[in-house]
Amino acid sequence: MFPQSTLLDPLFWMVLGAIQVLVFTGASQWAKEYQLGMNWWRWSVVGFWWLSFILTIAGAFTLLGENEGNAGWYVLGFVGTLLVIGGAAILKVLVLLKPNPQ
Amino acid sequence: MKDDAQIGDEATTNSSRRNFLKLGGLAAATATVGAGAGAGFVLGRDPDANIGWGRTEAGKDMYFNREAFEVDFPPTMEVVGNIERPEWGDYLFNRAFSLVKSIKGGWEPSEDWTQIPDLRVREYYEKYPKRWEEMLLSFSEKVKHDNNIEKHRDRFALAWAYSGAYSKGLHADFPPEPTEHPDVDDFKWVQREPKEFKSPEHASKLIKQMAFKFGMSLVGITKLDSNFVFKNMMRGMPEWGDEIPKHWKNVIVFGVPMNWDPMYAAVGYSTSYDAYYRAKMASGLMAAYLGELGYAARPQFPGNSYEVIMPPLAMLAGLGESTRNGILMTPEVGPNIRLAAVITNLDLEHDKPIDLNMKHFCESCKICADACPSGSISKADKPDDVVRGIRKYAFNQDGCWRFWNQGPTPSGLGCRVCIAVCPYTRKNNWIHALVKQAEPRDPTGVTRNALLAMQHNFFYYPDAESFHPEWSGGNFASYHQPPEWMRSEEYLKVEKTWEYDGNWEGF
Ligand code: SF4
Ligand code: SF4
Repeated sequence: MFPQSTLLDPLFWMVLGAIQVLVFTGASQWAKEYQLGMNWWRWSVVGFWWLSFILTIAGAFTLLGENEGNAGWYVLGFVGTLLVIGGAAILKVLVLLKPNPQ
Repeated sequence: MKDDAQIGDEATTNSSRRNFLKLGGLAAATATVGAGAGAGFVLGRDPDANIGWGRTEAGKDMYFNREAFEVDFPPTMEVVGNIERPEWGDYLFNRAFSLVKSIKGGWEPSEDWTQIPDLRVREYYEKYPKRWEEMLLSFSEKVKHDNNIEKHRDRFALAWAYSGAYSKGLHADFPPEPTEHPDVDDFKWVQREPKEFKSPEHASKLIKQMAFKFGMSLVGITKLDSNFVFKNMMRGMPEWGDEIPKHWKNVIVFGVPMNWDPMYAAVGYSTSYDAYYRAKMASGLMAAYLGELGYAARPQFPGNSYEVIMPPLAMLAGLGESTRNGILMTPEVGPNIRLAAVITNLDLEHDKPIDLNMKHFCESCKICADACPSGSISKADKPDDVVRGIRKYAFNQDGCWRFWNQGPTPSGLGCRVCIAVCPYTRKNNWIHALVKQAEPRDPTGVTRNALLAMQHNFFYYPDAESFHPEWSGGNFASYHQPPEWMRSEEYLKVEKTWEYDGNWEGF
């Protein structure tokens, strides 16, 4: 985020990494509230989706940053839309497969 | 036992803790999305991605590990007959300069190439009579160019100043041009008795490190293959046959990319002189370094000071492969590379050629052929020509030269559009580095097809005609718009009367 800066750049990546703990703790609370019965493979699917989503946004904006305006917006619109649809599908599957309350 | 009030308090605390985590998680997720976008954007802007400008001395511009791709012979150098050595007349600049000399001497060029005064030039057009039309056209186009170019100085003032500065540097007298027989001249660098290396491996390891320290991004070493040494051409010698000096054993080939942002803004805003200057200086430094250690050296450098053809030697030295547009394609910087070399008698360990699957990439791509403003690059599905015994894509160097004479550079030299548009000419930021690492390793071709589908559908390429200057029917388009530091309206008291046509950041 702060290229060429000796201090701010590593700090930024450390803070971003730390924030991910909050993202997943929050997600865990939401999952508990909706009683999704998260296990290792459910978390793996969600984690993979989250990584793909963030990388797509970062990739599209990298293209915009290097003056590939067209390509940046297309990647965001095309791959981003596919990922949003994919995310909704994953959520639907998680809800459908949630364990029955005893 | 807890009483009801205690249980109630704990429930309230737990619930507000849960709410905090839920909302905190949402806020953190939103922040991550923002940070991803922001970090992505600045990584796209990051000059650290401009290979050749920061990691050079550590040798980290050359980040692609070639070992797994080594082969005995480059797959894009398919020999289909007797390899013939290039002739004096095969070198475009020799022909062009000779023709200009004849014109200055009073000769009037006509459509009849048989009237060309210089036999060596005539022999070339006897082989390629159709190309004479293009060469002939280049003379009248140059006159048009010279009549129009100054009208556009307001727009291009900063770009041309940048190019002019490097041109001055390029024409400095270092390394000096040879003036005598190579048996004398190449030894002028030698300062003392040769210091013996522990082994050729040690010598190569050190020489490569030195190339990086002298500012080069890529380096490779190969035996001097006589097939790629010009006949009848030896700087410093008015006459020369086809002999090759005995001490010409090995060749160290190195290169550096042109500054990325001007290069993307070819034609008018780009120049090769920056990379030419750096490569030329490095060849002089390398020759001097070898001489200090007691070894002979013959630098080969841009613009015009060669006895060898560089791209095939670079391929044999493992720097890259041959492509549709006829330029060396490297895994790091694609075809955005300007080469120089030093021929030496030092014993060196040789690098091996590499197979990056470039053949298949170019077969499916054709982007350079579609964008070329002179239509000089073949659009065939497979290599469709044989040049001096090697199968290649047909390339009309006279057509390319004609467009150079039309292009909006003050000297009427150079174009570089085919370099700018090539999907392999991409900076070293994380997305492109990922793709460049993945594509040659994917035997299925899925990465290549996905990448090319994106290139063809998501990226904007101006029409071939738009790259032309206004006086020959175009609108000075470029693959990217010029960088801010080349826009005269940002710094000079000029009236902006033009619009840019090319990719920009998209906001
Ligand atoms: S330099 Fe320009 S004219 Fe020459 S082949 Fe490349 S795109 Fe075509
Ligand atoms: S633009 Fe495409 S076809 Fe042309 S050299 Fe580059 S990869 Fe090959």
